[in-house]
Amino acid sequence: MPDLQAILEPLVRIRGVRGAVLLSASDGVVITEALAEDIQSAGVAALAANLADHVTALSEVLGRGNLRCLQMHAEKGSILIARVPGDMLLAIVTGPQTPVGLARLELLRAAEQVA
Amino acid sequence: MRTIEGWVEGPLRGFVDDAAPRLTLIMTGSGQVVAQHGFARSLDVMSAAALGAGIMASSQELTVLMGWPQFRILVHQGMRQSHLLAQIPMPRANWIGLVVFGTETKLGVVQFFFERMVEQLAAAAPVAEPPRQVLAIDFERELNASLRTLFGR
Repeated sequence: MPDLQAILEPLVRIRGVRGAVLLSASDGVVITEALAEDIQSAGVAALAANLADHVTALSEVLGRGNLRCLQMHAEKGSILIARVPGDMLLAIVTGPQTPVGLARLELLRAAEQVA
Repeated sequence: MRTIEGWVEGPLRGFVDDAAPRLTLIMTGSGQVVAQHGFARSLDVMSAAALGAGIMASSQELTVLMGWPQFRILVHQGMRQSHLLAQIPMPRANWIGLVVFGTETKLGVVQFFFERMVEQLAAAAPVAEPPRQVLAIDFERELNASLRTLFGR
């Protein structure tokens, strides 16, 4: 089993990233987390799992296959979610100043390491 | 959805809308049903209230025996249906919440919105009164009284 905390820590060192949460995809509960700020990780886990379910369903309807990575950009930041083999998801919450391309690259790299 | 205490309805409705449980039961520690969602028969409510209160009581005793800190939430995950049983800290005394949910929602979602409902209930609750002792006879009487109010018989 890889050191999950060591995999998540570099994600929160990216500028503006507020937290990284590894979660169970089917249950929507936190497996482990690294937080730069006090975010509601339980809420992030629950709603990220729900969102991933719906986007996966949409992707399947459109014939795009399984979800790999999901980016949601809002006024005050973004949420990036990557699927991790073994019924897991890795989510990061960013601020508006976060370089999203770098965050996405590191997220996918971390997801591979967890797997 | 039926509620005995009007101020419970808002938080419970929010929980039901957001978490999509199949059944929800909120009761006092003495078995008085405060609110229910999804139950069609008073008999089911009576059984669920008695079993839920019993499970909470025996689980609490188990933690005392083991010298563990008090727990608040108990989850049974089944293949098609799961149950969440939790204490709801209220100003007067702890209440108990029982939630039955299926694969159309998730444990994390139910737990997250349940905690939100708990906060809303605590904020909406009337000013505290001194707690009173819970007796077995009170449990049965209060359960029957609340069932009459909830189901009209």
